[in-house]
Amino acid sequence: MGTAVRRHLLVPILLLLAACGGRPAPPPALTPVPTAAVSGPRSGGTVVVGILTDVDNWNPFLVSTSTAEDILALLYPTLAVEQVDYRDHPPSFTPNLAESWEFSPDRLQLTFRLRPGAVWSDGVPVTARDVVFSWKARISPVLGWGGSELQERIASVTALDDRTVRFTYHFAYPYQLMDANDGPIVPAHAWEGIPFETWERVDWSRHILSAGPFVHASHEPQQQIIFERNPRHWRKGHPRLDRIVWRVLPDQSNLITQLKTGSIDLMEGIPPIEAEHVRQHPRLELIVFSDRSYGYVGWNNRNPLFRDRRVRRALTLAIDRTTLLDTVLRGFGRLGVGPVLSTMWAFNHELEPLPHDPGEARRLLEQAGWRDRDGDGILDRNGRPFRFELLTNAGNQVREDICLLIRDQLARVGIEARPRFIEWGALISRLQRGEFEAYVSAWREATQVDLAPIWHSAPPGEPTMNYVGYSNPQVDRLLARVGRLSTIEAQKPVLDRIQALIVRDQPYTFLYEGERLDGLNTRVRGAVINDATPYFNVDEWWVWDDPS
Amino acid sequence: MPPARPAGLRGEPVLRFALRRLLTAIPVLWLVVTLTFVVVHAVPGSTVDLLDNPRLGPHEREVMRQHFGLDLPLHVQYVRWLGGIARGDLGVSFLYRQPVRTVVVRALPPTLLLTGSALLLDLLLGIGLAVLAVARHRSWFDRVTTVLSLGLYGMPAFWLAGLAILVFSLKLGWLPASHLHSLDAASLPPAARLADLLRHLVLPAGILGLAGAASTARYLRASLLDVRDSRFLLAARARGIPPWRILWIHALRPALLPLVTILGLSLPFLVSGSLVIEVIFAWPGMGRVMWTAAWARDIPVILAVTLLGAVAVIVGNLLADILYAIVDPRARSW
Amino acid sequence: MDTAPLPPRLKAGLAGVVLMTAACVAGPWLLPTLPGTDPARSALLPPGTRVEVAVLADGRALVAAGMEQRDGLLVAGGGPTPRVEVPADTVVRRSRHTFWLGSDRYGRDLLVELLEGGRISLAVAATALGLAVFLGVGVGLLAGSGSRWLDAVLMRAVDALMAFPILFLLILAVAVFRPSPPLLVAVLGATSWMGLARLVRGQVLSLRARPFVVASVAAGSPWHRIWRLHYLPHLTGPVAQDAALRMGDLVLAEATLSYLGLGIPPSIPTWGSLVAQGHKVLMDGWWLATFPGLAITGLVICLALVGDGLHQLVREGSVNPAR
Repeated sequence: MGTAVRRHLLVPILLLLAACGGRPAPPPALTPVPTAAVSGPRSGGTVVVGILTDVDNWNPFLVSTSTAEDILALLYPTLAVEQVDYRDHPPSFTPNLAESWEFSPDRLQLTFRLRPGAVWSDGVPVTARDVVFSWKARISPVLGWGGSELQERIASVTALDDRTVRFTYHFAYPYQLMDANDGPIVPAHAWEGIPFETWERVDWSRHILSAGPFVHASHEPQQQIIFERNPRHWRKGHPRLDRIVWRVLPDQSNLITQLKTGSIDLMEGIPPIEAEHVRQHPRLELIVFSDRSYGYVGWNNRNPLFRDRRVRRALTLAIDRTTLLDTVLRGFGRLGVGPVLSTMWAFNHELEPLPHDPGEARRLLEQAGWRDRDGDGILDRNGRPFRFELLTNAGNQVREDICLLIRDQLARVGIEARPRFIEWGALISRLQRGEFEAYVSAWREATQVDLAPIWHSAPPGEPTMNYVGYSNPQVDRLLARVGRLSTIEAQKPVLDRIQALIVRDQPYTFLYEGERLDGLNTRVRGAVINDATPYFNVDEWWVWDDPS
Repeated sequence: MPPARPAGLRGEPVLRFALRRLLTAIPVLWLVVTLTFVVVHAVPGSTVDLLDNPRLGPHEREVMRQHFGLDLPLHVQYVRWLGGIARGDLGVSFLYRQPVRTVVVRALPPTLLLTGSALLLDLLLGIGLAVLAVARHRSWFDRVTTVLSLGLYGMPAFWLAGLAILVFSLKLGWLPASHLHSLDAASLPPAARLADLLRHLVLPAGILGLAGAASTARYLRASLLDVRDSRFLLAARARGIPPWRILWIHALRPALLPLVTILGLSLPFLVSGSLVIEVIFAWPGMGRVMWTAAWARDIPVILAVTLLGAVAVIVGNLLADILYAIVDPRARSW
Repeated sequence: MDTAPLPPRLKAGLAGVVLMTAACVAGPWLLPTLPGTDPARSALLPPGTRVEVAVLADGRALVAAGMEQRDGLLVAGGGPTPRVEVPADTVVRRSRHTFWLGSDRYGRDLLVELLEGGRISLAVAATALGLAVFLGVGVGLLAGSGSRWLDAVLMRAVDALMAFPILFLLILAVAVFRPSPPLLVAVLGATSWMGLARLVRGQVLSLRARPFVVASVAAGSPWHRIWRLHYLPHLTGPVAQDAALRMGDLVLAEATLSYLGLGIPPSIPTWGSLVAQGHKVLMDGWWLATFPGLAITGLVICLALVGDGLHQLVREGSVNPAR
């Protein structure tokens, strides 16, 4: 199934999703549900998915939540599907609306051939015109979709004929296909007459078409969404399901209850504390996979407390991250190493997680001038005690527990961390202004490795995610260089070097690499649920014991 | 508590009175929305920063910020917004990227259905119980209903809701625990569809209504007892008017006076709904719209809902005064 | 004041309030404490479960319904809970404990949580009530006894505040400030005095026209004297009655806000947040939500009885009639 490629590196993770983990190092994704049934796939039936938030808008260029993006991707697919095989190389793609594509010898032109059988649900074929129209929507400033930056790399998109469309680039770089593919294809014949300026005033539920496996059947706002099998789907015999239903339940514990009673079949993001209940439930399957996220403590590198690299290293050594993983995350996850996930092709395999070593931590702190001179149990330097506020967003049980654990562990080396939980919006705003000492949060990594937004010392005024104010001129130079290299092979050594430098500097304490826990009713068979989207192979799903 | 006398009703036609009251309400409305505007902009964080979507990097967020006009000076945003209100345009929601009007209009009917049925249950049950209890003052019926209404009055609605879901939905399986309709309601014939809707309404409206009925019954019983012992009813009894007539007609009317005020004052409740019940029962109403908007800093929606709530309070107050004057001729003068 | 007998409901209500307060204040000290928790074996045990407790040398505690010693090993757990075996010589101390109201998801004793939560719930509601009474009586007195102009300004402000969405205010307050008991008290107090202000203003307006007040004003008594001698004594009855009922409302409001996660940080138990925790495991532990809810209900009922009793006193004229 098509899904919007996660182009942008890393994004702060708000929900409890950043919380999970699993048995010893599972493969990066592709966790097939064990199909106990002996009989083969059958057609028909309904699957009910529980979601916390409704689809906010029926135009894929106006949605803001990933829940909605994942659902709309079933109606407005991409040209190709990004595979979840990023462990050894950047993700590969399989044909979807496009049946094939090829680069010109100089790699400045990428030409897609559209699939002949692909049609919109009103019978109009999917053509190159749709692709060009969708490109215009992506770069339109009045939609605020944010694609205008793409124009720095993609010069033009032109339709050569009905089934052929060409992307022309300013220069060659490793992610050309990913960039071209990153965006839903929407119906030009139906939507072209509506100017972009008025899109926010349009009731898009009246203009829904589909080129995907399902068509929209009904939507009751904040209640439920029903999709039905698209009889015109180009893949014959698929999807197997008659219907897929999303029920909106705004309360997580309510979702879990309904999962257990069988009212819903699938729910994303089970909190680790509930994992055992779900695993032991006779009719439920606990699905665990890497969600490409890592949790970390961000030390404000501008603060005199944390300016010294030795101090930051000591802090990491003093935090027992294995215990943290076992208790707070109930063992779902792996130890964090550096700014690239250890399950990603770009990871520098020479790096290892720093050990838990309070003795070495004390020695480093002593070297940096921190000693308990007044005998109050807290290290001090120049009369200033080592005491700071550790922020995280309130309401995220996992992060709150992490803060409390870190407080206890740092107290053992004579450092006083004062946990403080503030509302998400307030936290973000303080991070952006640099008004903090340390915070606990998580990033989700994109499959396109771009370390600059978080690690480049951004010039003042530029939007950045480098909240901690990390600044290493060598890293800045390498980051600038990696952006100019046109192949993965050339980029990899530079990426390795950058990671080594960042791990040496420890601007963050990399706590853990997260995993997500989804709950699935065993009546649903053949589902591959991974970090790309829960509906990765939804056209293959089937149900075994539909009560009807 | 002595019921507040409507101050403006002496010697004035009702329409003019209403108009005058509405005009004096405009500064109050302005005050409320301006206050909200200031507060919501003073609070840290914006929709753009809060969206939890991996697609949005720093660059995309900057584009969105400009698109929403959040980069403009505050007074420009304020004038823009007020100008829109003056033209009857509530703006476009940052979160839903749809006209705010659509978002609000969509949430109103379910809320009205829920709160309306709850209010109906509240009044019918509350008045009925109180009158019957007073008619049989100090009987076992009186005692049981008094204890029952006291108990219901003390129960937190969210707790009662959880208990009801546990018993009636999870254990007995009689009633649905969430949503407006069943999964397949759309394919049912109209009558079955209505029955399905009513089944879904039973728990949320029942809990809201019972809690209200308990208060109403308690309140009304006390005032009925007060009135019953008053002089004019003693006189009526002396004239040989039958007791049921005294109770239902002569006593109920003065006892209902404060209740009428309460009815007017429940208008805000009718339009803004009950957040807790809406969240627990996944009911798609106004409470949840406000809740989501406040957390997501969806400023246009927050302002619109605040405006609507304030209008409801003011109109409700006015309605209470007019109703009061209708029921109590002494306060009437048109 | 003549000494009319107190109405029975007032006595019953007062007794209930005092009893619950005393239990919450003193209870946690008097109850036997659990030396530690053992979530793997003692989470979600139903009310009345007796468990055995073993404290180990490393400070950990084992808490399980069944525990036996054999071959120098202490075996705990079994059945649906994971079994654990530890060398018997690492056990420092053994004792028994009864979860009278059951245990929660972390193996804590609900009875202790309930009483500790009650302290917070009661303290928050009582302090907020104090604030509301202070503001309500103050503003009401000012509006009722001051100039027409002051009256109009204050009452329009009251109107605007009543039209302001409280819940929204709370969410924003939580965003700006750290959720904490003082913040909750401030918000609850600041948003629940308007009704009282109207009540007091009405009373003062009617008192103001009474001969003894008119005479006092004509005689040139200073305002504070009139307030002290004429207004405040006549207000105690209605205000006390209103306050008793309002306190019940505040207990419910605190519980609702804590239930929604807007009140006090979840690490501090209150009755509302205990119900919220209980709702997370509605199917596996009915008692977790039930008992805190019953406690709230009981307290609100007692407060309502007090309010009713005071109403009766005021009506029978034994307490300063204002009519």
